[in-house]
Amino acid sequence: MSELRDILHQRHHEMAASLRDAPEFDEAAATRAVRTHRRGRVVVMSSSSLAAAAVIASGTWLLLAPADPVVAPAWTPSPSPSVSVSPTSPASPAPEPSASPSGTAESEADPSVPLVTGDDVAVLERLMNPTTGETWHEPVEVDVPAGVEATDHRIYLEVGARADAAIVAAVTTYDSFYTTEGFQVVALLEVDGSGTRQIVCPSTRADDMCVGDTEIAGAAEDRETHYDSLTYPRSVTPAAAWTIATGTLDPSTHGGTALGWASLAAGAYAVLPDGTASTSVRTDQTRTEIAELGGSTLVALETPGEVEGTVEVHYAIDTPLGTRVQVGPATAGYGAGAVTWTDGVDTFAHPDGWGVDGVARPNEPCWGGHEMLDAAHDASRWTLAGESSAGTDVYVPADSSNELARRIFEFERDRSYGELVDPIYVYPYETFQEFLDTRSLFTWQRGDGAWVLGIDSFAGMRYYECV
Amino acid sequence: MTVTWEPMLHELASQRMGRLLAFATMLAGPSLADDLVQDAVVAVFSRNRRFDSLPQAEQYVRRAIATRYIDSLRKDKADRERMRRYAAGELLPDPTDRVASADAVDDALAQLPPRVRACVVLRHLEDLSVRETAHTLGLSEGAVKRYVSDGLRTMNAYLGTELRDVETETAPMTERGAR
Repeated sequence: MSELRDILHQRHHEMAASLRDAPEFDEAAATRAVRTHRRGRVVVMSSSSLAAAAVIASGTWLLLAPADPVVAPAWTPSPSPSVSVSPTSPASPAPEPSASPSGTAESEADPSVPLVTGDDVAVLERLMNPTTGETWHEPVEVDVPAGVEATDHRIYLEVGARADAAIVAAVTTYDSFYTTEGFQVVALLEVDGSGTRQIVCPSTRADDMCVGDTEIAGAAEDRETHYDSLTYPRSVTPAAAWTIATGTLDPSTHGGTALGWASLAAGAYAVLPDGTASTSVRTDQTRTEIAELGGSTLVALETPGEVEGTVEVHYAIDTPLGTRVQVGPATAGYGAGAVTWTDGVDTFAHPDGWGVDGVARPNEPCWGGHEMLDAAHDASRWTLAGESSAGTDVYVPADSSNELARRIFEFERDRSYGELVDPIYVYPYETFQEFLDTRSLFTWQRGDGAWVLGIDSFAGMRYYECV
Repeated sequence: MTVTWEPMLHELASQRMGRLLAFATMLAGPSLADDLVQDAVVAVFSRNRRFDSLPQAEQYVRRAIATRYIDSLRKDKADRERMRRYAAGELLPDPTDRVASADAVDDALAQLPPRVRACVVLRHLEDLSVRETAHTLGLSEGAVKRYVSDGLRTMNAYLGTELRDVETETAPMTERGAR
């Protein structure tokens, strides 16, 4: 049964032997290139230290520079009984520089829209005023905790304390092949005089998922310890028609999280305390604070869209242990039945069965993890055509002079695989006019003023990997 | 013990270069292997990363080779054409041409479109799980399963082997249009 595998290994062995002394690899050139890159990196790290200091001062540090060996409290739960449910300004300036136009409008957050509702009100209150006793500080690398089996590619960072126990994060040092968004926290541990316990269910919410298949050999399983300060609302609504699924991992990244859904409480580091930077974390994003969630901050991460004139937005929670958890957008209006068209014709109904879930995001082939905003909305190029399920007006391109719509049509068409694999990968519309006639693209305005672009998922790009 | 990068790079070049070039060749073919290895070594060692051992450093470089290779394919229209021809059966070999030699293995791998080839090599030479293969290459797990399944079918047909991969067995993509 394993014959082919044996053949592959044998061929690899033969080839490796024959290439052992091959002159193809230029060690001197590689060494020079590495030296050059490392010198450049030292300069970048030095300047970023200033930025990191500013970020730390705001209580939302992200390990932009090597950690100070002194353990300094970065955030401690406030004893104040008051709970603020007002979002911070969506237009708060980001600490990172940006040369791109922001897709987020000036702050027009509607104070009459509650940030959270239902059960999330109590969750947010505990998040703002934790009762479970934990405190957090900057991560400091420590030895493998007592009794825990040492493992390759794993380090341990002390990140906080609770009563007499130190809270320690087990972090994988794999980058970009096991993780998809940085150095993942694979387990949270508490270490005290009685030994090491793995906190299997960090969320205080009983129906949240616990750690799945990541077990730390040598650590006792602790299902009784939970952290209010790491239990997030299911969703947050910073403004009308703008809901962010803070209880749902970004579907484009959760597949790589070691803790599964429990990663909502853990996240990943962009940079390790020794300065090692992840290559899988984007560094070109503009970070904008949306709402304070106790010691955590809900942020928008913006980049110029691949389609000219658009901005792509990811959402994330920056946690008090210095990690980032990417969460998914849940913009009201997405999904089947998202739009009621004025003429009564359901243009989301398609015979072929492809992606008939209503509205997709124009910039996503498969996973729908982020939003596309119209960075320079021109009202004269759009016409009112319906109403979203959230009660907002929905507009479609007025005519073929809408160049943004044309660029998005070409983007979707050109990114599709076409007939090379299967006819279902052929983009369904040959012409821009067909794309317009089927109301493939539309937009609506959020309560903060931003214009969100949606696309009929039938008209989205057709990728082999997505099926 | 953590080794500083220059001695480790030298050790890697002197002791593991044959293995890295062989891996890159099987993954991407001989024309790309040299550049992939050179670029991957520079990329891995340019970061402030600690290596505890030579195998660990080699492992990082091997992963970097795979990710850089697949990244290079993402906007490669010729790759799509190869996939089209493969799906249409135009690249499937004549079983009567089968030759039991090292060349046959190279030829069999050469029949595979790049992504299919990369998935087969990572699954059955590197022994990565489907999940690890998907993360390494930036593909969905479903895509990896299909690529491996299709690739094994071609390899088995060419070499007369019968390797099955229960973790990836699925409908071959050439039959998908019939649904």
